[in-house]
Amino acid sequence: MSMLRREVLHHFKSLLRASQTAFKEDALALTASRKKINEEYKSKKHVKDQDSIKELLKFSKDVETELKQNVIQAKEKSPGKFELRIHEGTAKLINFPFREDAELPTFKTGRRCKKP
Amino acid sequence: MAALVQGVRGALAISSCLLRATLPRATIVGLQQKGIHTNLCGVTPSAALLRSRNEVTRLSLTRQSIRLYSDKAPLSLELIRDRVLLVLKLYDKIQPEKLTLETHFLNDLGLDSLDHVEIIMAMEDEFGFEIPDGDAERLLRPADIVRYVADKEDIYE
Repeated sequence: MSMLRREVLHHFKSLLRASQTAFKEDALALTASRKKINEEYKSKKHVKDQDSIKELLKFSKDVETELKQNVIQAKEKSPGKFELRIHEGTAKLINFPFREDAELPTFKTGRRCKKP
Repeated sequence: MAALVQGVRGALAISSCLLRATLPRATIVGLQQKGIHTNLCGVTPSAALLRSRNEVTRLSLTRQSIRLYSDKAPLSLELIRDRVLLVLKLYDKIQPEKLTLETHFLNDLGLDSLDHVEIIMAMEDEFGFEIPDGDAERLLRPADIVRYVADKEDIYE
């Protein structure tokens, strides 16, 4: 089996795995994403040109990264309150303060335990 | 004085309850091990005895298989075979009538390599361990998968 063929199958598998973690426990999204991934791969089965295959593989890799890093699930705990599910693949960005002149609370540094 | 009498009476009742209930101790321990909550002083001890005597043989046999640490269930070749065939029957691209242990995925069942990848993923989810791509491309029949899982889990028969 050629290396490119092996790569294609490998990306297919990792894309399916990424969609499984992104849409965990969401049956509708899982079936829809599986169907879509299958359709897209099968429609490109006839492509023979190595360069276009590599480009399509890059697209697949980008989709996979997007699913792993940027898709967050939220579950409604009570009306109006949602619980987010964040896993280790989720992209966590730096927090910027919402207001330039905001005063952030400072905490005491140093030893907190009582001296014996 | 009255409170003392009441206290003594209460203590006597509890102790008699405990006495009758401690006789089939192994069965009560077995019941508790199984996680069944039994309120020994609420239920009449005779009823508890009757129930526990029927269960004592079953409990003493099952006590050995209740393991108190987390691990996968013990496998046998037949169990692996059944699970593999069940997963394949549940896969929507396979017709269950054509499926036997020796049918080739690509040649006999008319699937392609992408479907084969999906099948291997389903097997990974079913048995709980990763199957690397190099091994996966050689698993082209259900019998191969059964043999592979048995090798990985060290099941011989």
